[in-house]
Amino acid sequence: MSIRLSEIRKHVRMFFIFAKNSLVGYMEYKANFYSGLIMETVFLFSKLIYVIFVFQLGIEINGISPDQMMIFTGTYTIMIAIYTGLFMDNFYRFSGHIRNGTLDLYMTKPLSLQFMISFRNVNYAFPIPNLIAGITMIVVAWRRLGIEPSFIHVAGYIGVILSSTIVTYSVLLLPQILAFWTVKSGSIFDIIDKCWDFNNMPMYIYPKWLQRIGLYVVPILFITNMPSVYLIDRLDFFLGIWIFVAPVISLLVVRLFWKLAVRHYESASS
Amino acid sequence: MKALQKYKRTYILALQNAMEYRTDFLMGIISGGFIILVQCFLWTAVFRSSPQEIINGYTYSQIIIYSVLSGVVSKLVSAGFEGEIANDIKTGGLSKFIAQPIHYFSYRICSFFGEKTVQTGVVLVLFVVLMTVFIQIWGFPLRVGQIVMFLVSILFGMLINFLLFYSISALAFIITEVWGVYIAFNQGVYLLSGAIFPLNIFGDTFATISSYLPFQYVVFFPVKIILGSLAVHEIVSGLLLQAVWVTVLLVISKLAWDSGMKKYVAVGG
Repeated sequence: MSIRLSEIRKHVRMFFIFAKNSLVGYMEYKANFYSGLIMETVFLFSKLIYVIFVFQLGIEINGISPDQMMIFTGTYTIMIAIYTGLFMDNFYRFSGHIRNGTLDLYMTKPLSLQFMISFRNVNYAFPIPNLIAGITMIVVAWRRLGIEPSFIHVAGYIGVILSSTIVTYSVLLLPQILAFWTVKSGSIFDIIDKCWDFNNMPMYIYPKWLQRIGLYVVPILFITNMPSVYLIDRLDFFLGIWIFVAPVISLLVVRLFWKLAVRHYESASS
Repeated sequence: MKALQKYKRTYILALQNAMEYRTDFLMGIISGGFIILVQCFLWTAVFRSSPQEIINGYTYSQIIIYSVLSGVVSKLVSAGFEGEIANDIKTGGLSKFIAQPIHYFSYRICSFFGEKTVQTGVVLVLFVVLMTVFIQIWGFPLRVGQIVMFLVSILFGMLINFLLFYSISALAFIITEVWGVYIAFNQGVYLLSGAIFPLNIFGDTFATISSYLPFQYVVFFPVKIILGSLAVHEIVSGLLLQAVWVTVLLVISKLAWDSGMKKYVAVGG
């Protein structure tokens, strides 16, 4: 796998063109934008309900104080903004590309096929309320916990968020690739997709075995927990290394699986 | 008699359709089960961390049963036809109902209950299994009267939910890109019906406000009957209020649709 610098630059440039393209789409169909905004705001409220609940209870749950809980919910909300903004639209359309034969068209383009599938659309409506609420929660909880807002903290947090983003991409793309074999998207996607709900709450409320599976086997719990765990200083040596290793491994796995799947592909439609 | 034939046909068609997709519904319940699991883990952690035996008026067994049953009930009463209605209005599929001798409302409600008949069957089996497990673990008392009242209140809950979504569907007459509003409304009803948390744990003010709204009669009230936390007179007055809400919502949906039909221009088709 030799990757040339000019190839990377081309793909980055294309990403910005795709992003611009999506923005133009939103400007054309404004109603779609507002519709998405309203919907996501209500969903945001159903996440805030958990924060209200925890604060009203006012006790430490498995050693996690309400303020620390807000760090987790804030991170969760930011991760939702990243997922819905960059990946969700693309992943949901993926099985459609196989069914309708648009994948064949993408194959002829002079870009990486996986890149085309993953980044063709950018959603602008869903991330807005989530980003605002997520960052607000983090800032408020950060202050209340009295964590020194030093450069190392902020940069470290952003770094772990990046690592989580790569893990999110890999873990959620993986079940979609199954569509190469099943053609129609089925319940199996749904089930893995819904595992995302486990990030609603800090991993400390789950039994040990579930935490281990969620961190190391199918790293779905990695996504919101690692950045938060870093902030509240609960990181041990092993988890610290895992922050660097997990994105590399998961990205490799998804890449290899993708290559295997493409080899199996035999244009379903037309 | 002939007039009833067409409604029976619509009902049977929807029933057959639901029979075809019964695994889809079951899978829907299973994937919806993750949030129930999260809920159960959360409550377990809360009860372990708290020195109290009763939190917000619920014991541990009560809150676990509440979380599981509210998840199942909310899935059972859910509507899900609002997208189809919006499509009918947007693309002109509604026009054929103006010409045909079947009213759109009757068509929708027959097909809704046709679908729900099969889903109720699936849920009843699940319910028996779940209750047997709960009774085994906690020695939870359950009377036949309670189950009957529960089923009646579920029927009313379905009606209320149907009417809520039928009324909101009329928004498609004025907004073309209505999907976001629908999903938002769906999630709003989900929250306010008590599907995530029981409504009375957020304090008295919230409980009082929600008692004046129809939403709590969709999930919260039926599940509370099973929990046995309501006296007989409370159950009866609750059922009556459900009936009142059905009537009120019937009027609202009629008004909404009448004013919508005035705007309808029958594009497409």
